[in-house]
This record gives sequence, structure tokens and C-alpha cells, in this order.
Amino acid sequence: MRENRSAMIFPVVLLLVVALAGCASIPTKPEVEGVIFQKPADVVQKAAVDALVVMGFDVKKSDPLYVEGFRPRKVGLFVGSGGETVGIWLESLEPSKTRVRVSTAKSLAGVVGQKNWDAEIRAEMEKILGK
Amino acid sequence: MRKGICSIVILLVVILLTSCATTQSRYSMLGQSYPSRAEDCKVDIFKTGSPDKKFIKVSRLDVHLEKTHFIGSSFEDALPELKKQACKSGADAIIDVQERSSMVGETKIYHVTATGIKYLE
Repeated sequence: MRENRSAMIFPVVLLLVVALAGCASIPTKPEVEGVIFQKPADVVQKAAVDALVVMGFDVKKSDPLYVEGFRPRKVGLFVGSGGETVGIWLESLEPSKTRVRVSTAKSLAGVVGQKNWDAEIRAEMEKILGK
Repeated sequence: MRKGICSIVILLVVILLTSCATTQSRYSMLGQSYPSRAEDCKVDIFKTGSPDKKFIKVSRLDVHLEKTHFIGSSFEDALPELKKQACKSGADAIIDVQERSSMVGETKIYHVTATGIKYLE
């Protein structure tokens, strides 16, 4: 009976892991001042997309004032990685002035191998836009 | 008991076999679009410097490689995909190669950004 139970537990755990791996979290717009770039919103939006690509995100949404990316999951020996969703909100303050807010959402599965990408994405955008 | 051990071994083998290696790549035009060239077209690589011929910059190229199990990637690993993206964007050669490597847990990350150019003569 005990043997049967242990033989049944593993497929159940495996199914649970696979099911959870399909879940992605939704980033929420942070209530922070953000970073202001002295560039038009369309130029900053393009830089946001490029920054996500450099960090290994698949760009899922590319709207004029919102960009979202998801990092594909990788199965590791000890700790995998990926599964984060990043949202980048743009706010056009003036024709050549755009505010950027970035937020990383970690998913339930594989949270140990996930990280907050906000600072790196902001830094990459600064590099691209030459701030 | 034997069944339990078997299940663990199978699970470990599955995890090892599915050790992830992902490749993401794309090109984006810097201005005007040009017709794509054949996927296996000849592309000149200028890892440093630029060609003597006159040229214009036509595309931004990105190749992103990630591998788990502490396995790293190099420029040579990314080169076939870089050439493919250059051909798709209609470029004749690649310049401004920028490489960067980082690590998240046991995942090694390698990213290369380059500029696709078109000869004018």
C-alpha cells in the first residue's frame, strides 16, 4: 500500500509543477516617481522593447504607452529561472519628455530562480537612450 | 520501495533531459525596410572595426542565449542566428558587435547585439 502511495505521489507532484509552471503573474503599475527621459514617448517605447529583448524577455504587449514581456522558464538541476513578467508604463509629460515606470511580477512556481529586473531594465533604457 | 526509487530516477532523468537552452533572436529595422536575403546568405562579420566600403546601417540585431546547468554560451554559438537575422533584415554585413554575459542562479545568459549594414557600392 505504501509503495502504491509513493508511486502515485510523484505523478501528482509532477502534474502540479507543470500546472503551476503555466501560470504567469500580472505586473501592477507601481506608485513611484519613475524615471524621466527627455525623449518623445515613441522613442522611449522602442527603447523599452529593446531593453526587454536584451534581458531575454519575449515581448507580449507593445502598446504606445505600455510594454510587457515574459521571461521563458528554464528547468535547472537545482534552481531553474524565468517566469517573470515585466510591465513598463510610459507617460508622455511633454512632446520630448516621457516618464517610465517599471515593475516585475514573479510567478508562484519557480520563485526561487526569479529576480527583480526593474533596475536592469531602467539601466538598459538609459544606455539605449543615452541619458 | 523499488517503484518509488524508479519514479525518482525517471523524474531526475526527465529534469536533466529538459535542461533548458533557449535561443531568442530578432531584428528591427533602423529606418527604411529592405528585401530579405536568403536565410543562408553570405554575411561579412566585423567583430571590431568596419568595412572599407561605403555602407549604411539598416538593422539592429539581437541574439539571446540562456542555458541552465551552469553551461555558458559564446559568440560562436550565437553567430548562426546572428547571420540569419542579418539576412532576414537584408544586411550584407555585421558591425558594432556588443556582447554581454550574466547569470541567474544556475542559468548562464549570453546576449549579443549588433548592427546590420548594407553596402552602397
